[in-house]
Amino acid sequence: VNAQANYNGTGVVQNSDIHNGTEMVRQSDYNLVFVNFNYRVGALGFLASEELQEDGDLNAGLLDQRKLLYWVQDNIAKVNHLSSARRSSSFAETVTIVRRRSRPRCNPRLFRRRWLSRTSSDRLRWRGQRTFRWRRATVSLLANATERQRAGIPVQEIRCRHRLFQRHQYAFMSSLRGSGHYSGGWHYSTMAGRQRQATASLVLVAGYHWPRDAGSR
Amino acid sequence: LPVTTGPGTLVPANLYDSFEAGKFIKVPVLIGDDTDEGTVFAYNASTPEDVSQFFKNNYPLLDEAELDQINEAYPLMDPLPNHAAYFPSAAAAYGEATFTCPGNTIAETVASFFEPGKVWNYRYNVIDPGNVAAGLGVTHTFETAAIFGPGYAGSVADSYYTTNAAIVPVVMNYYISFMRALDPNVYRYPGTPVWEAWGDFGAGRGFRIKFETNDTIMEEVPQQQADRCALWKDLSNAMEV
Repeated sequence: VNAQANYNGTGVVQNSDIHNGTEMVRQSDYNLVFVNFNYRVGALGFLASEELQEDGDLNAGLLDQRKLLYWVQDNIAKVNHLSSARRSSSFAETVTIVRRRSRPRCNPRLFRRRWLSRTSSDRLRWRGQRTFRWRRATVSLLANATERQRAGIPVQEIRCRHRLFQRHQYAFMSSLRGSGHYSGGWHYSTMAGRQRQATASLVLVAGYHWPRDAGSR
Repeated sequence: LPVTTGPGTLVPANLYDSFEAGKFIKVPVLIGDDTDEGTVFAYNASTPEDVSQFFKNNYPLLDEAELDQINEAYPLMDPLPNHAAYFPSAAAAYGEATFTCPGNTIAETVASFFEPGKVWNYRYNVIDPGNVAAGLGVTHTFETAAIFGPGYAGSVADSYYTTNAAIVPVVMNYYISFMRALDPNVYRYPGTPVWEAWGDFGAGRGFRIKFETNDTIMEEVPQQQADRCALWKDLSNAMEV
């Protein structure tokens, strides 16, 4: 009996990392910030085992989602120099998007510092006993120039992003594939408003991993 | 996918019980489904026994009487191309059990515990010739290409560039409006109908918008579907959902 149950963020059949908010942001007349993400799943749903239950969580994907929402609440304003993030929510098939009407700026320093301070620490303690480990945070530009062109990102903006991220580029896919425990990833992409006819666009990709050997820690 | 892990944890109780008890975050909600949610998941069943086995494999705690109830609620339907006789029944049952009825329950409980005017439901019924010929109808997540725009959400059915192109700005702008104003109507696409909120019918009934190319209109959840959803609610503990 075939019972496919392979949720990946907003799509069962397709991974959320192929969801590109560019056209939506454009259609909104640049009145949106688009945040996209993914969470961990296995071939049959959330990864489940006795070991995970003892030293992890059977709903790791939902914890990923909640972490993302906290992250957005804490940081989205800084991405765009805005006062505070509004409500974000996610229900089932509902696409979750944080609204922002703004005059966004590309503010590499602030954003980068915040991001790395949260992710470079080796461990995060989170909700009591649940211990998670960041093996590596990867930050990446959009894959290549062709993709940038397709996304309609002006050259000026590419430069801005380049300054932002050039020191932190990693091979995204290879780092994810290198982990036997990996299944899914977070994919933040924010796009916002007009800034002197430029479109601010930041794409962060973070690899988030289970410890390789939970028992040995 | 969520696993009930007990009191004090992220998922303290079965989801039906939690929603029915009002134990959820109260925010405006836009939620919906496709007409044939189950077709890409269901077993190609030939008999009612196949349907039972399919559900037993997915939900081992269902007993014979409960499996019979499912078969009674989903009798033989019109055949679909390329599929066995009871595939449409298996698909309808799985689609409603997994997606449509939980979605309706979320809509109803948000309406009752939060605000009946702040939850909007849809049924996506955009017909794609390829999917129809394949016997799949309007499949799970078929609306994704209309939300993000064709070419912005992975592979896309050809009809989104031709016969179904007109549905894209309709869907996309309701979504954009919901994101910007927490209401799908404020910035909706010109010429489209007001998307009425779910409302306070109760008993599993509510308003929903039916997305169809050049024919997007409001409709109500049919009584028959509400009845089938009541069955899934009854079975929710046995199904651990």
